[in-house]
Amino acid sequence: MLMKKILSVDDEEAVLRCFERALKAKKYDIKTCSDSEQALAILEKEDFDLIMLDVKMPKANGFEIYEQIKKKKTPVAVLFVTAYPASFAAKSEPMVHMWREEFSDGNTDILYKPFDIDTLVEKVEGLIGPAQEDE
Amino acid sequence: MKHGEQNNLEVNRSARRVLVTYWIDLGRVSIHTLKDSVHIRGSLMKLPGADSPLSPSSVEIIFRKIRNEIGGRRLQIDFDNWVLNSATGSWEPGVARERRNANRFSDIQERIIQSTSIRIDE
Repeated sequence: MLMKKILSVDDEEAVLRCFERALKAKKYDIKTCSDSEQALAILEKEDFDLIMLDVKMPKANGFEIYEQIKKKKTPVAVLFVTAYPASFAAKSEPMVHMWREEFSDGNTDILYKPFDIDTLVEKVEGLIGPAQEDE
Repeated sequence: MKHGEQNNLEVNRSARRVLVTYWIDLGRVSIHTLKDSVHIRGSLMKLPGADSPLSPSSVEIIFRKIRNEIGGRRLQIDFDNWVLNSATGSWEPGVARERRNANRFSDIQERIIQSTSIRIDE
């Protein structure tokens, strides 16, 4: 059985541990890191089915990592995680452009904090399906 | 990936694409396809700052387009802020129901915090 791989990028350790606990329980293969530099280094070496991105982080934020991910040839699902719905306000030109050009592939979703674990799992399964697939 | 599962994920993507076209806030809806049914639940609202608010007619158009995208599958809709008036057959803004509270992220955070002394601001 192949396990689906998730990379979660968040600068809060407790959040990463929460995702690990919840998604490992569902048999996903989850890797975590705490900033954009680590994330991009990992993405150079490994492919993932899903990348979970905190929006507000020091150094590069989630949107900047997203732009890098979208330049890759292999399409990958992305789940933004944030406590700030206003981050997605359709006011700034960069956000409007990103929404029209990148979100329109249907491969990107958003999860707002606080959330229940059922919703987290539903979002993940809605993007990449259940954790395990037959070879 | 199993063929059926791939189809389900493509159906989810199609529904998401329709919602994105209408500037619907994806963070407030969940989409799940299982066999012959597509389930969409949550709150149907536009992104903050999007120009015009949702109207009953625009909601109907969104659902019609999603139905077109999902083929013959059944569309199950459960929104806490839009309800289908069974008498008129039209969508109307509804009173939000209380969301589920079981297994909330904040509860799990609290358990982690107790064991690690790390503090999280939501």
